[in-house]
Amino acid sequence: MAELPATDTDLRAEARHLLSLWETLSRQHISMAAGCACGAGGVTLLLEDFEQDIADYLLGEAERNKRVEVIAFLRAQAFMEDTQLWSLSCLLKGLIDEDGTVQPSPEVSSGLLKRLGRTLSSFAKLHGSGD
Amino acid sequence: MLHLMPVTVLTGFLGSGKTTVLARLLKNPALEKTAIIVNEFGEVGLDHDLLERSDEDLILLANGCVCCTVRGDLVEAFHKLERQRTAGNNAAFERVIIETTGLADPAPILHTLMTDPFVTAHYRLEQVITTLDAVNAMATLDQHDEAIKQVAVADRLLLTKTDLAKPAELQILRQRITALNPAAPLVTVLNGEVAVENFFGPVVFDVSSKTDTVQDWLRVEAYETDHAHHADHHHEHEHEHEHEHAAVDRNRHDDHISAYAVTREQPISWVGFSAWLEMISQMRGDDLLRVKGIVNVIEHPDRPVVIHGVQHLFHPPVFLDQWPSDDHRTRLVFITRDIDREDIDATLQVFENRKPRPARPS
Repeated sequence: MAELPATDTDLRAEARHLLSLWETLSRQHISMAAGCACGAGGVTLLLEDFEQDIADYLLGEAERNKRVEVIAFLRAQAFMEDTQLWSLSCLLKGLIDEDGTVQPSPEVSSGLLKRLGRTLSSFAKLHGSGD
Repeated sequence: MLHLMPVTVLTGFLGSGKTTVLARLLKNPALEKTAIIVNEFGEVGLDHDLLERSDEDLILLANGCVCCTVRGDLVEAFHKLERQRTAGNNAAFERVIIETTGLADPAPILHTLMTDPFVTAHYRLEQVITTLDAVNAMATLDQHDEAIKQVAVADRLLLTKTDLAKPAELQILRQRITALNPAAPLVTVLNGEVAVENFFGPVVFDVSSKTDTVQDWLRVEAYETDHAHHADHHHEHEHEHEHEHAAVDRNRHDDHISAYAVTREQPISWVGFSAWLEMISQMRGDDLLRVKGIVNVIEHPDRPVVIHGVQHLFHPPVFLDQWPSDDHRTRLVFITRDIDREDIDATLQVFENRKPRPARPS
């Protein structure tokens, strides 16, 4: 069955949900090379440390699928020129568009939210943080 | 190349017939040059009394099934074997069989075999063989996580006491076992008798010799259903029908256990893949009952990498000199507990094209 087109309200609600999820998820720790009696030493990472991987993935998918609008939106809303880093929080705030200055197209919003939602949900499930 | 002594781990729940099978097998002259390590639960070892071996080639571990105790004990057992071999006491032994305690989670033993520096310098884990009692296995699998793990890690499964089970019940059990571990051949054992060739099987991947048997070891086709398709993500539509990524049908008793394959058509970043593998093994190591795979890496697509892990620990990756066949896809197989295929797939997608980048400022 074909999906019904999402309304702006639906898309904003989903973006708020994902922002909340990311803000929780990004502070979760992962103990690398440790975590059991058999391991020695180790490094603790935050899921935030994979933020650049997630953003690279979103951009890579958009480039592969020649989604020019999505690429432009990502660069404009999620790439921080001063740090040369991506910010998923900024991306999601752009999609929420609280003050109405960004006005993303529904196609851009739905595509990004769908892919990002699937990704964050999977990270949350694997981490045990829930969704 | 240094010859690594093959090690077979024989596991199976209490009363499933491990010792009977082993005792009869060892009467075969073909296994004359076999050293045995028996890991028993409890203060008094009993099973080893049933094995007619000389003191030199039978070592008893009686320290029970506490993870780190077993590990230390096992390493010491291999040191002892090596000392005996060096001293000429049993210089001729050609393989080792470890019989685990029936209550044991086999993972710590496999971890030791895959990662301990001394053991991996002299020995290689050849295969895991699990015995299942056809009469009691259904109830055992229902009640004991260790039994599920024993089936999940098996390269071969020996079904014992089949003459005592009803055919209909046997059929259900076979289906359940195959759903838990689709790639492991299921061998029927009658009266504890199993031919040497059926016990060891014809083909086992030898990571030290890098043979072309990796495909038989991986058996990725066993994890794929007719309507499953590859999760190559270079198509925008792919996840519209994720429900079609069906894993092998699960028995209702084993709703938490899944066996599935994840494949990629295009080479993937080894740096990204390694980071992903470490991440999932640290986040969900206890639930990764078995992971095997061959990986086509961007960094050197002519040299595939073989990976093999049990729970949170992985054998050091093996870089093959060439592809074993024309199939150059990355193929990963998983037996997991409460980890969906979609979540493995979605998180791998994030890492598989990882780009080099400067460290994030603190």
